[in-house]
Amino acid sequence: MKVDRRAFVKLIAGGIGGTLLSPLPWKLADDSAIWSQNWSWRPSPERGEATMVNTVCQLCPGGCGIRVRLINGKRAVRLDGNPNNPLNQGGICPLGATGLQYHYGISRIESPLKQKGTRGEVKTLEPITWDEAVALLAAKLKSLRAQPQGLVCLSGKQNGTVSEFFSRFLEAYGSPNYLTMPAAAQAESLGVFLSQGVRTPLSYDFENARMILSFGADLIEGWGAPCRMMSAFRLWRSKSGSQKTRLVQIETRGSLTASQADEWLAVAPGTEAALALGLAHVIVREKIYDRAFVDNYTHGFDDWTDSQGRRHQGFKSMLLEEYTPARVAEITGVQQEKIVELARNFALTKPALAVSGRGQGKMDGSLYEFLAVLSLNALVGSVHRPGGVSWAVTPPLAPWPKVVQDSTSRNGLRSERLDGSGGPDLPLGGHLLYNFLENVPKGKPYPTKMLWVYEANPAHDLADVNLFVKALEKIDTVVSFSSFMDETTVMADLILPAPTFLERFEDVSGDRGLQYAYFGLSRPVLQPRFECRHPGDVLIKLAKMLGGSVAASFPWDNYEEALQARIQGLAAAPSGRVADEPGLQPWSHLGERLAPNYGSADELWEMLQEHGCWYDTSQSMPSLSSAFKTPSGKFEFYCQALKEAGVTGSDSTYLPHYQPADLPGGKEEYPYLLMPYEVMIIENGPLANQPFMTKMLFDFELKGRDSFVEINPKTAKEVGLREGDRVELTTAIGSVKVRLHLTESARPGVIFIPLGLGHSAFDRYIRGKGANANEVLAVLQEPLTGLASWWGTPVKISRA
Amino acid sequence: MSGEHTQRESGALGWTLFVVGFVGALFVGWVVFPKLLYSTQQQPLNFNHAVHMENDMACEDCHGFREDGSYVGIPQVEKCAECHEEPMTESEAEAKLVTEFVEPGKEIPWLSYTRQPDNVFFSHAAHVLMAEMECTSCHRDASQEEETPPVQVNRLTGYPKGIMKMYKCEDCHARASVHNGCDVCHK
Repeated sequence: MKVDRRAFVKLIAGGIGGTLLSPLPWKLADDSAIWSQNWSWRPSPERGEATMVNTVCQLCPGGCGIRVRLINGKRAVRLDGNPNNPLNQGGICPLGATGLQYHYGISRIESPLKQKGTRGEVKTLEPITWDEAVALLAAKLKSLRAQPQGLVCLSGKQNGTVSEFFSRFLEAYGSPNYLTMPAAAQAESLGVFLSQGVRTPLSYDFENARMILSFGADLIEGWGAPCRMMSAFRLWRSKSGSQKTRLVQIETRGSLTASQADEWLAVAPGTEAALALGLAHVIVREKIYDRAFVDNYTHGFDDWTDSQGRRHQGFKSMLLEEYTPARVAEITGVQQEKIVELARNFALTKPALAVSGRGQGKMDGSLYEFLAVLSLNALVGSVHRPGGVSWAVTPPLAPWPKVVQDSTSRNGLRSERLDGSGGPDLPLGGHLLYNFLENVPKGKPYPTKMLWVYEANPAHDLADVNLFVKALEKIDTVVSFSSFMDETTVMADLILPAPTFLERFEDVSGDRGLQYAYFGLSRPVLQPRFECRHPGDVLIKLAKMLGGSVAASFPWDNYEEALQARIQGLAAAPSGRVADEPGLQPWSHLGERLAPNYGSADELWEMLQEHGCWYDTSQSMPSLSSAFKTPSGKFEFYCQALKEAGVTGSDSTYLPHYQPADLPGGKEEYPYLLMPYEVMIIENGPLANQPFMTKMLFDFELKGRDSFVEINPKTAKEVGLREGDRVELTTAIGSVKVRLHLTESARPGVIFIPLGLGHSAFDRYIRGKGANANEVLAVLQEPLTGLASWWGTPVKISRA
Repeated sequence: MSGEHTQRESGALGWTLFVVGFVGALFVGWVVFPKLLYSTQQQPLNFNHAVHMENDMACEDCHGFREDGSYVGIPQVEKCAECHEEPMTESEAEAKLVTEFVEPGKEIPWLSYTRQPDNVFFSHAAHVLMAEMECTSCHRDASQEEETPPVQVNRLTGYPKGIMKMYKCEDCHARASVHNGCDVCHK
């Protein structure tokens, strides 16, 4: 018996047949798919007990309550909204939802770094120990102490105790040069000061208003506290019939807010103030304004005579003379009938409020535009009334002991600010960052020796970005307090890494617009991943090393102790609660006292760590008879405080009015207008889009490495360009390469460019995506205030 | 003639070999392969479910839900320590529990019989609390067990034999008219 080739083939064939009828091949095929999931180098979520802890998000100034899902108490796997938090009501924004990618991302700085080579070169940044870093900085500060005003601090945060720590350090050291990044709250605070005598931003009672007139504020795309606005929007849409809240969006671009509004008025670029005054004209002419409020609580409505017997024009006659619907229609492009109809609606729907400020509110804005919109609120009696506007209510934190000054700091503080703010040309004050950047290269009025940057990214986020880069050339030492390797940090000489929002204590008092007092406590939920230190602790250490009055101004052992000291104020307040139950609606209790649900400051501190936030409604809606601290004791349409500040001019200088913008570049050379816009899924702040967020962009917003600008099909046709074409945009500032997206939501003649893309730093997953709009956007400063109101830049377009 | 005979003989042998190959492969595929594919692993400690049940304990006492609705699964050693701070019986397993795990506060490396792969999100709360399904509709009834059975672990995948395959999830969801979209299980 011989097994020949044929027989062998049969054996094999039988084997194959049998194998195919057994589970072996199928099971192996299936298992090998799972096998590939278990390769040892494949990232796998940690297994173990899951817990949820509450904290407050610090990724933007919004102050949302968040819950962190932890595995084994040490690995965060998910962030979502805390339903007990009255501000975000359980909501979370894209930035928050993807926030863990910041914490675990690879652009974190792992230890203090010192630049050993040329500034801006990442490779020559050398790790040093914290002791070395702090000693180095302390030595520098000691050597500069004779001229303390040469130290400048730029903070990315408008408020909060860490920012206060920085300004406190500067005050103790002797420098008046504490600056913040641009924000709409600047024009707002100034406007409230001039019209009402209190320097504070406004609060907007969106939840109780029945009509909202938004002059360019992208209310549901990241304006103010983004999640608060989303839940307010949900509330407006949940009402029906006579309770329904109507949103009218006045904006040049067809934004998401415009598309979700009940009505969208596409005004000509930069003419919002004219439209506001046109509406005011109709309300005054038809006598449908709130007479009780205007007669009793305002100044400068009618023509008036001052104590020296001089006649002055009032708001009313200015409106009636200069802002007729016909003229306003010509300026804004909105039909006369529409202006009249909208004005009637606004005056007769109660309560109604008007809000101004472009985009998310990360531009300073124009004072007169703000005053025009505020006056509209005053005309309809929506000031300090539910459903209207009032002042931002600050939580009653206990003050720290006064800063101790020595003769050096007193002398330093007497010197002029480097941004000219408060000086003879700019008496109204504020943080005028662009002026500072213009003055630095000239060494005016004195040289800048050292710049500290705290959680701000001016090298990417400021219009005309080169201004900052150029200014740096004249600054001896740049120190960055940042968690990430952003564009500004790359250019620093000394980098002092800060813990991320999940690794440190910090208070977040809620962004712009909240109508009740709010105090959010962010706490270390996780151990620091790297060698980072809280900026507050670094400042305390530096102060101790400097000694003398600087050390005496920082009497705490650590930042946590300093923060806890301030909580005493909340505990001592007669009203206020820790938010510890779902469905809280503070806007339904404005002006009411809340019985505290804690007994002592220690208990409050514990509860804040457990639940995240404290709130109080008792200080909302001040009484009209005592609210206004102006020279007349009333709401001033005619701002006498401007005169007191030394501003001279005709009557219209003191009244809200419309000024056409003086844009850089000639109409012939640059025939179109380039306007920036902001959206919620592109982070336009000190951080950059993490991959999870970038994934959410459509491929007509970002495709590969190319970002798109929006252009009207008519405009595109004019220049012979089509969807997706690669173009070069050139302005007086510079040029960028982008692609075109044709959309009817873009106004003809205007090109809209998104802010926040085009990073060159961070890590390989972030950089190189799209173009940075700030490379072509010019800074436009309002002459009176010096505030930046850069909303448009003339541009030309050519095929690239 | 003889050549013809040889050819016929060889044909018969060929078919015999075919059958041998076929049956052999079936045997390997159905009997040998599963034995080879799964390794049999013993639990680090014997857990007597029956004796715990006799002492009036309910399943949920250990395998319950936390306050936030998440499922405990296999309890942590802390739970054991609530009763077994010190040995209560002469049991060898209990002595090991106390000396090796409770006292040093070390977690017991229990092997799971049903661990789903990482890319699957499975919520016990949705099935037990909301859909009111019995535990035993998916898991074995362990209440009478005196010995913890060994765990069959797939050598290739590293997962226990008892994991549910996707068709099972889909089938049950379809029959119960529950949403069957990808994102229900793959978050």
